[in-house]
Amino acid sequence: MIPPGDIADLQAAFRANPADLGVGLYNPTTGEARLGSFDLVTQGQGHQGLADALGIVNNSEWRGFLVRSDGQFLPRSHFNAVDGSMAMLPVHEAAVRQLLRQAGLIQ
Amino acid sequence: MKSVIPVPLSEDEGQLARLACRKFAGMIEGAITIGLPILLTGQSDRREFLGWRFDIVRAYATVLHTVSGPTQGVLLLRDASALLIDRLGQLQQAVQGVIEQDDITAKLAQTIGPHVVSLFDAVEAYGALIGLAPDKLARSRAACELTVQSLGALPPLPAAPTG
Repeated sequence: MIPPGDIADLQAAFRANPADLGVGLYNPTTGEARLGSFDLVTQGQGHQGLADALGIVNNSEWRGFLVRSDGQFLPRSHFNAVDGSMAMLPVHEAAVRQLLRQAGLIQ
Repeated sequence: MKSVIPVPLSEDEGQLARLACRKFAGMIEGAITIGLPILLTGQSDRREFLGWRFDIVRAYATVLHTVSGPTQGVLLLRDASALLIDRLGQLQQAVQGVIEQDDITAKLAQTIGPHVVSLFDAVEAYGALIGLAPDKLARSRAACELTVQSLGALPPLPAAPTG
């Protein structure tokens, strides 16, 4: 699941600046995903900035993705390199797509 | 790495310099680890994100170029920040050059990689002069280098639906 507060905050960030990006982290073990505005939450640092902001230190247990205000989903992050590439594994990508659809962030 | 004696800055100036230097490295990390993958999306506005980020990163570089203190020490610092600004400009120019070409996936890694390395060399040299431990910058450097190395192996992303 994605905490409702993360979704509301990202939607507010997109309303303020549609060019902002949603930075996301997904934990395949727990099924939890977290989101934050690139500009407002991650200190302009991207996935590591989000991890720092959320107090996440077990980076190898999390995978990364991006979502744009126009609903484009980008399953890319250096957090995915533990699986061999910056691209998310298809099984993780499918799970995150489902979560983002439920959140109304992508179609 | 050669040991460097930090410039004796006042507490406020030293704190400002170390915070701005870490922030600068983090913002470079964000520009590279997020901006380069976005370039590969094929979106018409793909250049805008990096342009926006480079504007902000350049502002932080300017802050680093204003740190003040004892003349001889600060002259060393200004040389280091000038080098950093120059290398940032080279990286931005290299990114812009690649964007204009076709088949940017392979060219990004080849062209951008050396500029990322030399920019972080300059950041670390500046960091040494302000007493910033190298490990404070190491994670950003590693993330950028990993991203650049991984770019060539990425499958293309589907373009977003339009209209």
